[in-house]
Amino acid sequence: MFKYNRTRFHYIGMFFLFLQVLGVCYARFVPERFFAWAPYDEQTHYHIQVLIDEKPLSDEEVTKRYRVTSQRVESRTIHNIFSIIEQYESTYGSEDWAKVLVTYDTNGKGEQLWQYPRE
Amino acid sequence: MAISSGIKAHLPWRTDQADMLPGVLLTCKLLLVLLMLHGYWGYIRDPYLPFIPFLDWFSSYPGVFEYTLKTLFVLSGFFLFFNVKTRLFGIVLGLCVLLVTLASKSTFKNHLFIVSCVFILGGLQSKQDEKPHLLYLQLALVYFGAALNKMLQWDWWDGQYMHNWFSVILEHPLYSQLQEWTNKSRIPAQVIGWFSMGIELVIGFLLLHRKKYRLAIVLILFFHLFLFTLTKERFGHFLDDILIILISFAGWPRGKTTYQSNSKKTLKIKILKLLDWNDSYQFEVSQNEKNGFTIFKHKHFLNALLGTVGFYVGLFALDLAIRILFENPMQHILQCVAFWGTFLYFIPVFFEKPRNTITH
Repeated sequence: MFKYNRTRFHYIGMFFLFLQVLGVCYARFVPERFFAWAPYDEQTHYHIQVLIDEKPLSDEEVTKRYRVTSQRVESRTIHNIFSIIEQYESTYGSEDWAKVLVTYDTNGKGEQLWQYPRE
Repeated sequence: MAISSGIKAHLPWRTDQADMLPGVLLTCKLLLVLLMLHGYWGYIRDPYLPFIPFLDWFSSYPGVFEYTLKTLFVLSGFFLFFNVKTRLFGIVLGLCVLLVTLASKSTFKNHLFIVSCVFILGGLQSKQDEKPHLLYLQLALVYFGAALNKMLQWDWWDGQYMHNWFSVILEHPLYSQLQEWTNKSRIPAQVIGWFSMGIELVIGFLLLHRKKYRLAIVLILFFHLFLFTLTKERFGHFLDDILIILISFAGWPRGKTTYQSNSKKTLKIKILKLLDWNDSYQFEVSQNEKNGFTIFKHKHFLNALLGTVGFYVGLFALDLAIRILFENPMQHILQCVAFWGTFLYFIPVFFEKPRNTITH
């Protein structure tokens, strides 16, 4: 590597980088890929549908609920989207008793289903 | 009218008199401009589905988180831009962007996360260091992470990922043609996939080697320009981020660099003076080579250009102008011509020995 001064700032920087290394390693043990430097490693076309009291929410309402577009191509793992839905439904939306269905197709290998609450 | 040296040091287009490395400071300033152009202001909101549950506490006090961070963002951005305590405010700015990322899982983007990392590491980098080694390590980590994630997925090895991306999502005409020629074989998709994984891994290793970093820069530029040419994708503004980060790796002059030339009125010298906003280069008129001074040749011109603020700001502005003035496909064609033209024009610089000039 290049010549550098071993100041306390250098060590803080190295520690910050070490935390990111931990993020990359941690991602090996969970399906989500946040803070894992994993851009564009999957292409998933998905559609989120939400039922509250048996009434479906519109695409706009779904987008507003999770702050992710209700249907599009996700260029990181689809588990990031599942994680967002699960977190919302188990915290802010826990009183809604919503039923969520995500139809998705990762890398063109065929349609799959994911639902919340999980059975 | 001459500007006093005190004011000069705080001009936003100067990067040589602050406490940050000049290239790193320019990188941070351009990334800040990039964030604002991409509407980052709208991203700074109260926490919503945060990564850290504690941040939900702020939902009891609407606006406190948002306006505190907006204030910190504006103030630190302003001070960084006008060269006041740039290392400190670089770190503050980076922490703001990182906190905004941590405050909302649904707005997590790699191209925003890397900006926060560069602000923080740029601030932590000492001006006395030879090169911004923390940023080299950061980029190495990005490429290692990207390669590792791909290599652990079978879809990248058997061509499924690339086949789906090019044929279904991008509906790429060149790929369709390749499919016809190869009897609908997955081999072209496999080759592109393997090439991507391989080059990312190699870049990661090269960035860790002091003597190989120039080759790493060439490969980074080639890889991203290749992807951009093929897909028109900027991956959010990840492509812009990477290109801007590379500015900090250029050979920025320390102090004044003096060249010897037959005349001060050649076109190259005029161009250099026009773009040298840090006043880093000066010229001595002489017919004979003086002991220790370097005669100004084309290779010195190329090297010197890579150490000027105006050159990078000009490229940034050119790219922006093309995006504003033209629609696709003309926009993409012009950008490819500009990017590849610049890359090929400067490629000799990356394969020569470090320059030998006199600095004062």
